[in-house]
Amino acid sequence: MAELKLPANSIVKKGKTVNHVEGNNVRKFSVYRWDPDTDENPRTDTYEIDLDQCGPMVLDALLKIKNEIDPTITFRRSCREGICGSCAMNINGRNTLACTKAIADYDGEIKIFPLPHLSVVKDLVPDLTHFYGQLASIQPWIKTETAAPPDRERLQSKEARAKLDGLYECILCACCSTSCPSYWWNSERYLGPAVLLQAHRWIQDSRDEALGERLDELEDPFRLYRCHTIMNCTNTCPKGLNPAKAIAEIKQLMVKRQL
Amino acid sequence: MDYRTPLARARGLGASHDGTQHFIALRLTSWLLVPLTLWFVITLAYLAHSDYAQVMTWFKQPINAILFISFLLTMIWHASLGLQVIIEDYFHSELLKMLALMVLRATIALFAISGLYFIVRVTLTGSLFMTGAA
Repeated sequence: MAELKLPANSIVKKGKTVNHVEGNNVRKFSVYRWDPDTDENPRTDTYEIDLDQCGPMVLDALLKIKNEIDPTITFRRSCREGICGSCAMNINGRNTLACTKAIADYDGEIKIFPLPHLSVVKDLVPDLTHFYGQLASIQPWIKTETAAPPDRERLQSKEARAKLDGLYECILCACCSTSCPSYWWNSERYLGPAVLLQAHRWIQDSRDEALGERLDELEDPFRLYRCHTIMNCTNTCPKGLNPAKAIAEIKQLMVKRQL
Repeated sequence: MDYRTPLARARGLGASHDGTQHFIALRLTSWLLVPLTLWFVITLAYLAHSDYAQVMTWFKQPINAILFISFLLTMIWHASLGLQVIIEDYFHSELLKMLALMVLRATIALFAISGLYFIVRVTLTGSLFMTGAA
């Protein structure tokens, strides 16, 4: 059966308040901590930050903690402008990018956890190995047999190109997949919204010649049909995309080729 | 230790090329159930204050018997498809999952067969009971 209770060594305990700051604009950040080198349970440590001395985004606060308060805190970040997807994490109960989420969007204490239902490598760093394996499995590149014209690129009409809008913007941050209960229970076999949206990006590409093969590879009760239109993916996407719609369109194509 | 590469793990046993018929059937039965359930609820309301003989007479009419059989089989088929999804979602031991699916199929078949038997019985004999006032 699905595991509804956390194993004893995964239960998150209350940690310590690391620092204290005086000021009129102080905000508390409660951050999930787990160190694989100790046998201790995960805990939530609390940091206080004077927002007058900090950048506007949640990532700015995390960087301030790492640079000035506690260098042991571990998280991924790179572009700080919502295009690399590295700093995806669960902030106040919702998966999002720390770099594009303003601290001012929240009231009171801000609780930061790693993306749900993945193995944790350390602190806010989840293990995305299987997620990337699943991405590789849908072969996210153009597949053709016809050679490209020798003197020019493969042509695509403006209308055909427009079909990729809402798909190509995905940055593979995994916010959607790790917000999906169906992915929580069956991520071993269900591809999840992010990878299915990527698959749809190639299904929709007018220059690709492997549409049928792509559909063949997705037609499976687990790979595709574990999607029960829960819509958490669309709700949580920090880029405002709609993975649920992409999955629905894949299902429509599956039906279409049977009728 | 699992030394498979991430790609091998993600590919697993490969796609089973199945699931679309299940998807179509689930949607089809849910649409069919809209008018059939409406008919059934109206029938129940209509028969609410009838006595046994009146109810038997009502279900003896071919149109009512056929609609009742349609409602029953569509509902049971729909329930079977839906419960199958729930079992596949939450049973993670392959053995338990297979057992649960077999129990589900057997139970569903039993419901369908007994339902059919009693409806046919009522239409042919006008009674639910062996020794009833046929």
